[in-house]
Amino acid sequence: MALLGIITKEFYHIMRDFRTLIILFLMPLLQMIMFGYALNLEIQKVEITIDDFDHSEYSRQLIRAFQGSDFFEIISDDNQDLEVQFFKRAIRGHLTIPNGFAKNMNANQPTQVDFMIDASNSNDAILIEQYAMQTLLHFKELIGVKQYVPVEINQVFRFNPELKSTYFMVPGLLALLMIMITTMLTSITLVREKEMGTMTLLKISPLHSFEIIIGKVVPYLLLSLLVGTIIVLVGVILFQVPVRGSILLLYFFLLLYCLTGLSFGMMISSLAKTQQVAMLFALMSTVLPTLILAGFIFPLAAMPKILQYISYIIPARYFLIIVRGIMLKDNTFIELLKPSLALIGFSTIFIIVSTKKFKTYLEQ
Amino acid sequence: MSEKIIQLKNIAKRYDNIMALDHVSVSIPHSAIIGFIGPDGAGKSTLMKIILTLETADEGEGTVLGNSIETKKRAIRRHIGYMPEIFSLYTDLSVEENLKFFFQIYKIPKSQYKEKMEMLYGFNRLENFKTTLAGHLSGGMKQKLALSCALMHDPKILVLDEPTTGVDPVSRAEFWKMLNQLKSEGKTVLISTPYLDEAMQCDYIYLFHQGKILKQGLPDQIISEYEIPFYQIETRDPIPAMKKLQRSQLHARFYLIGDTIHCAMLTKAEPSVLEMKKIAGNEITIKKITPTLEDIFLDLLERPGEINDVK
Amino acid sequence: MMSNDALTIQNLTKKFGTFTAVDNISLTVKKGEVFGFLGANGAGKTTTIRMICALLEPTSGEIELDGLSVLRQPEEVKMRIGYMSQKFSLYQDLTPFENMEFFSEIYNVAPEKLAEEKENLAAELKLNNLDNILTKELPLGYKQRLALRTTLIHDPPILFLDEATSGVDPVGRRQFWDQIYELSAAGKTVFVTTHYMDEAEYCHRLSIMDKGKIVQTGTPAELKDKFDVSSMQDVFLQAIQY
Repeated sequence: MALLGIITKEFYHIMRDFRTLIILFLMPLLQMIMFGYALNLEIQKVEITIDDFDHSEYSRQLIRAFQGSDFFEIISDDNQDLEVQFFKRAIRGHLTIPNGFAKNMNANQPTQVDFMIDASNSNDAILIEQYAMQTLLHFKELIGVKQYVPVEINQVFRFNPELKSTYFMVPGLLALLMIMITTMLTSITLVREKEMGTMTLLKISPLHSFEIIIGKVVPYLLLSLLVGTIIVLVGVILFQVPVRGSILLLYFFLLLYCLTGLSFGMMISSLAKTQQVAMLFALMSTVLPTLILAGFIFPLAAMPKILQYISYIIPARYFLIIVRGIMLKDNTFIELLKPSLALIGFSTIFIIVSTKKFKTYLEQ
Repeated sequence: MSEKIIQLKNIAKRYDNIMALDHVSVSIPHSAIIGFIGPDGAGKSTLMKIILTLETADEGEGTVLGNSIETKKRAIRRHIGYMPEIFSLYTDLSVEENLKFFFQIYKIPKSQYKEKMEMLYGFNRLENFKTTLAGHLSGGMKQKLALSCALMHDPKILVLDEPTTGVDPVSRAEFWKMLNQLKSEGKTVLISTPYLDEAMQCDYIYLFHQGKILKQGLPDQIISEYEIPFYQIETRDPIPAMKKLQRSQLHARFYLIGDTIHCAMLTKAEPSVLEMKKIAGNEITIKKITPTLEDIFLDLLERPGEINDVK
Repeated sequence: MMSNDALTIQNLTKKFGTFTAVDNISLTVKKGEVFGFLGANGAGKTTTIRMICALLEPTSGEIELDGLSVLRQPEEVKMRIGYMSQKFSLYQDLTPFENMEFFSEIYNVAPEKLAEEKENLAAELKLNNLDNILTKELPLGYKQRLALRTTLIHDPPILFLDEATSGVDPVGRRQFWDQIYELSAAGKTVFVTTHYMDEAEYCHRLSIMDKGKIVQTGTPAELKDKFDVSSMQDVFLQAIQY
């Protein structure tokens, strides 16, 4: 009865604050479109030049393979200085086919071509390298040589054969937006009551601390799930990201993840004095770490050890593994046990700490 | 009137280095309107919060309705209604939604809902504004709504922290009518105000200053028993006259009220009319007046030596 | 020939649609007078003040302030008005001096005058750190006095105090009023609105407004005599026939 009272009241707050509501639903949509289209990590038409010192049938075949690829655009080499070309960003790659290329191939000898890549943007460089490898593979198929096919290339492209960046953007955005929204929502809602003075009235009422917490969490949990659904739907409809695993499992983890964020928000609000402080802290403590340290955009394995250790306390890191696992790999619960345990651990710690803190606040 | 429902002895409370309450004792009967009067930071709100068990006293002890303020917080909170100094209702909820919310969180049986609402609407006359958002109500109506919410669980004691600040005189008159009605129903109302015209409407007042109680008693009694005589001086050009009087060696304080000069003697002695005329001019007229509570309050502050002699 | 009146209002009316907020009021305030303006919420006080300050155009009627027509010379009128309300119009995150500097910029106050005002404020508050303490750190009573000083920085002949003492304790209020009397003695006209009837007693003369009309005008003593009551609260309630 009293609990229902709080839940109803929170829903009124949510429904009447139209601006926040719109931001809440528009923000994920805009972010998705921004990350999905504007920040598209797939690059096309990478300008390259080619130096062919072999002038053989094989070297011409290789050049044709690069010409036929959507990724590369060969621009004519006017004997300009390579350094200048790279410097002006006129080209982003340069292929050198050495003399003796065809000879070595015919003799079944290991053969090398040199591929120089502009690595001023390391992400692009990695992608260009992968495209070059793929083109090389294509070339080998073309000429019927099989023995040098590197095994690793096959692995790189599993679960995402076209290397679509949206495939890992959508789970990443889900992780980012959900933690941000949930943390922000709860951190503000309690501080607002403190600021308005209504918290005092709740304090002297016969309400128990758990009633206030649950009454506050339930509406925002539902709201967050709704936002999560929108993100997944946009991903599936707009970007054709598959959900290969169980939807039920996905929702289970979404719920768990939201709980982590909501209880983290509660923790913030027990410390913050004003809504601005709470909001800023919620944003700072969720957005940046999730963006940088959760393996969302930057691969964790490439980071210094210290950052890798820090990444273990970022809930999004585990959620990302889970979501990618469910959406792209059809993982089962057992296969996701380790990251799930981590997530459950986080939720439990946050909930215990925040209710304890809140309880002492209420009863002091 | 003999039975005291709030009894506090030697309460002290310190914030950092400021003595918010400096060993204060109060003893409050039921069915009365009790005024806590004094400037900001005098300790009124702190004492109210200690009674509400929202703050814990550093020293001293006390009971509210027979329950210890230290150990029986929940029991006390059940019987107290509180209206904080700032308007503390949900401004984005309607009148009815606010009332319903407080009905629910006080865990009153649902069967009583209709009866309760009828009773409260009859009391606050806000029925026509049921669906108005609380934030859109006028100052006076907000206060009535806040009072109604504080009354939801039928508390024996009502604690109102400066409820009429910024409220217009008509609404204030209505608000006081409501308080008197509550008193006649047997409730005890604790009200704080910086305005001394409101103090006159209380049954018993405590005058606070710097964490201490300067004076207490029935308002009329405080005025009639005040021993320092007050005079009113009328003259055509009051400001120069007042300046002359202030510079003189007379044992009195002079200050302006409208276009007359008020004079509070520093001792119980009568003033020398002749001497005043000599200083301020012959055309002045002097007559003895009954001081207002405000005159007395400000006069008490001018006499730091006597502040400690509190009874 | 200088007139002795600081403010004259003649047959002033303001209608919002079919609702008449101010209904044909006339009023004269003399120079140096402390004039009270009382009324319940919605009585038309605020609308009247907004029209006097040239913030709102009247439906009909004339207002003359310090010899200027409010309708025809609104900008000149604004320079002659100081306005202070219950909500501090000061920047809490600036120092008191920075607040003064800002307002003197707005009103084109000469630097010498600003320096003098700063000195006066420091002497009045007995504080010498007014350039490195934030306004929000000042006690309420001090903020009030800072607000008053700032309101007066361009030396306006007429001062509007719109519920300026709401929430201020008796001691702070008395000090505030001592200052008001000083200003009045120095020839400034002070126009006061308040909800508190003990403050109404402090005014030289006052008007009571009800439902858009001025229902009573007189000195506090005259009005108390007229209704044969002892307090302004009773005068007020009888005047509006509550």
